[in-house]
Amino acid sequence: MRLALGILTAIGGFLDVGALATAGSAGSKFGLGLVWALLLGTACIVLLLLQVGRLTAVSGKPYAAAIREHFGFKFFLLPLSVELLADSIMLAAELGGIAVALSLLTGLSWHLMLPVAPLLVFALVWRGPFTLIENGPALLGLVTLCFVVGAVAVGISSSARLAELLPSPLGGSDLPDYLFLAAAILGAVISPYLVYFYSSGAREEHWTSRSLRTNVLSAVGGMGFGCVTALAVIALAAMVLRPMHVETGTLAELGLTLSAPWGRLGGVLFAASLFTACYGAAVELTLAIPYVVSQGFGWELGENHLPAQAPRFNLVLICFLLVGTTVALAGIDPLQLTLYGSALTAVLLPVSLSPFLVLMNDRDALGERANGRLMNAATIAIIAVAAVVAIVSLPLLIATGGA
Amino acid sequence: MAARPARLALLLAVAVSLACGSSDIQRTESSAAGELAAAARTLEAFHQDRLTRPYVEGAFVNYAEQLATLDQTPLPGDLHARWAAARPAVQRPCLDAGCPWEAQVRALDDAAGAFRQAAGD
Amino acid sequence: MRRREPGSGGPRQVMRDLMDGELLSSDGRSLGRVDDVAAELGDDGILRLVEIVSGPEALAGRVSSRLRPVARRLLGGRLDTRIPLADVEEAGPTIRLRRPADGYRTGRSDRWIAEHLLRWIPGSGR
Repeated sequence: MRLALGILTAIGGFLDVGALATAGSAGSKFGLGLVWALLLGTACIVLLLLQVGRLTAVSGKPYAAAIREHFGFKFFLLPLSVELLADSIMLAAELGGIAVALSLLTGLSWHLMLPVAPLLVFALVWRGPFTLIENGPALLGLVTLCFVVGAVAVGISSSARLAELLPSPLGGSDLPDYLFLAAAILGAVISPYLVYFYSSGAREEHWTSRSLRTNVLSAVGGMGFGCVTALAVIALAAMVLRPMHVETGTLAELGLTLSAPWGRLGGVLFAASLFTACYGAAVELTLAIPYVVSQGFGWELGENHLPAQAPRFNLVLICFLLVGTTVALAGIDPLQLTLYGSALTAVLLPVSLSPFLVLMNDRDALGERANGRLMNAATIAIIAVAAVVAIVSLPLLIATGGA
Repeated sequence: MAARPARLALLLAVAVSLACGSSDIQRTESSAAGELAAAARTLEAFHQDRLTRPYVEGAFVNYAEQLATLDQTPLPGDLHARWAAARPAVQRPCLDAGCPWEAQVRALDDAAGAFRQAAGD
Repeated sequence: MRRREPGSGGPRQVMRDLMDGELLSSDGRSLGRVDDVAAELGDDGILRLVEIVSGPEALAGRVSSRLRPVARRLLGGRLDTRIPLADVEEAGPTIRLRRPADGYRTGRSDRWIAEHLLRWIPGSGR
């Protein structure tokens, strides 16, 4: 099931607590006014995954390995540090999301559920072969289709709701929030950990030049699925929460959007969707860092081995999961932590993406599959977008401190 | 050399962040309004059989946490009174049959409206 | 897929091709990367590459030359693996070595981590 890699990457990487939180906030505050950010982010991540998939398939080197081999160890420390910082926060946010989902199903406080989350993640990544890691959360993740169905149901049911979709003119005090959310959306969607995980997955599955069509299907199909679902979340938040003057300050509020079409079942579906989205992302994040570190230092990669056969990989995995858990236990509300983490990712994007232009034009590694002019132009545009987002996000991060 | 544009950029960032948008208190009021409204709607939905009990119990933990900062914020008299009236609803929402939940929802909506007005939305 | 230059004696490797390359043992295990190379000035006045060095001390030296004496004092060469060039079977972005993983320090310290740290976690396969 090669397609599952793309779908898992979508459900785990695209549709995670970041996408849900930013989409929910955006819809409830600005209607469809931030859809452009979602679409722009989707286009960027699709292009990035297409390229990195091609890089790994043709050269046999995943992204982190390619960075070290091409730019040397000293440069490699930059994207590595950036990833460690951003991903520690995002992993904590995803674990928090899992905890909130469990709390909505059990009625217990999310603080009590928090220690359960890393254990559930560990259970899968410790012994699970890569195929189970791909297919499991991907299949579970189909439950997120409830957002799409729900959005259509609510939209059809009343035209008054549809009016809520229209963005209202921005007042002066709204502008920083608007820009902050735009940056957060881009940071949530264009996640570097997705790129590292996707290329590592391509390596684990032994992609070759013959896998390039799978690459296109996975990247486009997977991200497309995630994007459509996130659009549905924006629409639902706009149609249901906006008239209530609810601004999605916590994840639980977002579930109100599904209780509108489906009553009691809606809340359960929301909790299940939140769980699978955050669980998939937590699994990916927990694996992404050991992949980046192991590839950078040349250690044995771990997912298709018993842990004892790839000891350094698994040691890094355990340490990183502990770090994420520790940050989560600090008790910051997961939605607030997510907004902050996504904005931080946005600020650091140029560092993570800058190697692309050089790597994708290396004819030694890629031969005739190196980038053409169009793809290079697109990549330059993406890095330019990342730079603009970074410059805009930094003062906003200081000013709004998480909207 | 390379330091000068970097210093300039940092200065620009700080300047923009200081000049920009709403004050801290406005933001607190705005987000409090949102949370209070969410609490009201959630409680209402439960008694209209549109949410399960675990969902509401789990959700109110988050609402209470987000609104807890209001206790440390100096509020003008009117807002303070509304929040005092709404606080019991946030910390102990009544979920059993025959309890005065409508009064709680009213108190929450009242407070939400007042905070919204204060924030200038 | 490194470009090969025409000329006698097979493909020529530049330092950049060797550095940071992946090290693979004869039984296909990853043993780290080329973190540094050691060269020796022979009696005949010719500089020859003698060893590949892999390990934290070599890396510290690459990050900053100021770290090199500090690393040497702390680690004393105990954690670095030195691989004689004679062991290199094939060079490129991936460097194949002649001996199996156990023949190198990295392979043995891998075993140490598995036996002493990971064994406490159930299901590690030890």
